Amino acid sequence: MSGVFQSEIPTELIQHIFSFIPLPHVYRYTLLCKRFHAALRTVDFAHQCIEPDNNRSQTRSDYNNDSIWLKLPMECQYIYAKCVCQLLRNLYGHLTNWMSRIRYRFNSIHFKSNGYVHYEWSCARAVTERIVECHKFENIADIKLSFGLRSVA
Amino acid sequence: MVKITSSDNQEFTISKEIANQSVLIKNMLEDVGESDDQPIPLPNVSGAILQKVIEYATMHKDDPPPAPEDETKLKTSEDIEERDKEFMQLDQGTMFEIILAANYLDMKNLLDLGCKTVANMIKGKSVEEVRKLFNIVNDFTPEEEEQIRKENEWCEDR
Repeated sequence: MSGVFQSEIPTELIQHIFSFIPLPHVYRYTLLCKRFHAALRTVDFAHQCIEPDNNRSQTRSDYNNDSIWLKLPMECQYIYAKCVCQLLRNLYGHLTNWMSRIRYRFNSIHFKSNGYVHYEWSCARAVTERIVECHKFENIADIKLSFGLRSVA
Repeated sequence: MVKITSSDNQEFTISKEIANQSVLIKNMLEDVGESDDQPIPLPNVSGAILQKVIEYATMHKDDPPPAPEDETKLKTSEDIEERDKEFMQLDQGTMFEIILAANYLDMKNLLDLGCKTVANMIKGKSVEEVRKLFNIVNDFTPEEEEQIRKENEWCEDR
């Protein structure tokens, strides 16, 4: 006969408990039993582990997990990519504001040549291409649109 | 003062500041108004567990309001206060009942404490060790288990 944890704890509490376990380790516990596997292999759980939780004003993301991104389960890769895109979007906004101010002062400097924008865009392309590959979207433009990314070129 | 009754009809009288730590009770009090002397029924919580919940709420009644949370703060289970660790030194049955009660009563701090405690019991253990610890029955077929093991190979050596 199974214990209380397996049989009486609701799925959302199972997810809440496991969301305190670091991302590189948590997915090994999908092997515990079918119920836990079903609870942990969901988009909801990936959200809890990765995405900033606005309701609780707490960021749960750990972007140091970049090295394991492509090894994570598909639903988790998707949420992770979404968070990175958000970061890039914020970065892009910051850079454009910064460049506007500098341009206003010096007027003649071409800041696009310093590489920042190109680096940012190459990251964004990597993320979007991976999402296209995983989710069979028709083209990158659809993804850019869905994540609100603007073309830099 | 506020009266509350458990599923087994035990009645507790607690101060309003302790009662208000439960969002459920706080909302009920706001709905019924100040003048109502009727005890608030809590049919999902036994007397023994309610006693523990009141103990926790009393311990934290003088806590300052939570500070604005750091946007860059990572979710961790390593930030449990010593007094809370001692409070959670319970048998597994009681621990899970407290988690369920905290969820029902909408007491975020107690819920997080319970969930972090369980997470800390799991951390660093193998799947077999966790199954044994929580009496979890492996209901996968050997083929299913093998498939998931293959999917999880990347995290086994971490």
